[in-house]
Amino acid sequence: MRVTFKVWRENDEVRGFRSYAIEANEHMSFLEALDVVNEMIIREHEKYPEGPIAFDHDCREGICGMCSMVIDGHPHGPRQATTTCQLHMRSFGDGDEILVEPWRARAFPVIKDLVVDRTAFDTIQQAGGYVSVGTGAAPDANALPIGKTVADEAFDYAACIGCGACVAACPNASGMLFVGAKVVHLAILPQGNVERSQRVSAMVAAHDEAGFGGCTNHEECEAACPKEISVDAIAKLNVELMRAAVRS
Amino acid sequence: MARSAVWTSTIGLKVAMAASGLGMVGFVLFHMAGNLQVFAGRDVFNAYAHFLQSLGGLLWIARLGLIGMVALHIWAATKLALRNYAARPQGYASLKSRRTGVYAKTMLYTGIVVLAYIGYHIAHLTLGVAHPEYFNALDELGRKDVYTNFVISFSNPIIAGTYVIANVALAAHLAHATTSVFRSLGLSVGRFKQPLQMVGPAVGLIVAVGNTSMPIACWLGVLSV
Ligand code: FES
Repeated sequence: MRVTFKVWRENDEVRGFRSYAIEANEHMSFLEALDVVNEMIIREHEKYPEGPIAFDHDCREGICGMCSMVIDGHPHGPRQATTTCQLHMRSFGDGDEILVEPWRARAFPVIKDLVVDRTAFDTIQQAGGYVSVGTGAAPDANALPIGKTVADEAFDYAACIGCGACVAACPNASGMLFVGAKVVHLAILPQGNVERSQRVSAMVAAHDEAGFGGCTNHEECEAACPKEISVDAIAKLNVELMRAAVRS
Repeated sequence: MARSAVWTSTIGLKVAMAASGLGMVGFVLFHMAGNLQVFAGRDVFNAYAHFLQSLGGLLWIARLGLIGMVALHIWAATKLALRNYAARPQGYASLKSRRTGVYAKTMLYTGIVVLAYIGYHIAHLTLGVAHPEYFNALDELGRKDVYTNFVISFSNPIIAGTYVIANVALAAHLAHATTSVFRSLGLSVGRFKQPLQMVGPAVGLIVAVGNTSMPIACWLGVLSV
């Protein structure tokens, strides 16, 4: 299949979209197709002086959250519940032009081309996204009984891979789904319960400090999340913060 | 986070918007229910208006409460809107939405229309400055003849049209807002989520039909003096 990638390029040489046409195989992953583009750029460097496209990726199996790009207007592309690295070229048609852009948010500045700096998420995590008791060796299973519904819910929120698609999709570039997932999955478990007030206050403060917007309930985050994390996380986050405010 | 910082955080502002908004939705529904008595005729409507006027101090407590809620709502909305605008300095060439709708996307604009409308509405029917000629008339029982003022005002197609447009904006605002309130206050989760999601569109529809029915009825001559 023949496809044209129209890619946002941003480095010392260029700032804008550039088009690259390649012959792709429909069984290639999206990132493999970008690899093919880069090989062409390197091979024909006189024709493409801007050099190969920089993009983030690591595991390429949908668990690390590194791959991050807006493809044809959707973070992680047109398939629901699928990271960019798990997207395949068969999701596109022969002759398609595919628009590729980086996440756009003040808190995620572009470093180069499609690579953005997501340190802001790390800062939020470091503000409280942990349990600060020494846990020692792995405890016996069921030494601390946790009900099935709570365990399932905590697990659903803990599925967040921190990719930032929620921010990318949000009309306000808000990181509330991320913060909600991180806060709630710890708050509802006994291990995380002890520090829940400090945690939510610190993490929301870090979120606001980083320059993310606020949530206005568009639910675009849930629709874009490759792990399908529910906006219930945001509703529960709000309650967590109010609870902390009343108790402090 | 200090307690004061909580209330100016993005979440604190949102909760302030939700709480003030909930109070105002309640007022809109109450106000609409009261006004629909215009369909019961001059006597019932003037008696209702007279009753409200006779509340005296209570009426002022309600008014001050409403002014406070409007002020809080606008203050929080302005802070959040500026913040949200600044959060994405460079936009996308293409960002397609999957979930959000026209009501959610136009909240700021419908909100501004509603604010302008509140100003006009108060000038028109509370202060009587917009159309003073009928405002001070009395009925045969010596009560303020609110009914005549109401019906004559709205038989003017420009005034009726203004109210219809403003109330459609109000209904659109409430269609997203009322659902949003329950999310922001953390109630719209789990099994409550689906039913609460219907509340916004339902309130929007009720307000659209109820509030536009009155000016339209006067304009078409269904209600007359
Ligand atoms: S590269 Fe790890 S999730 Fe895509």
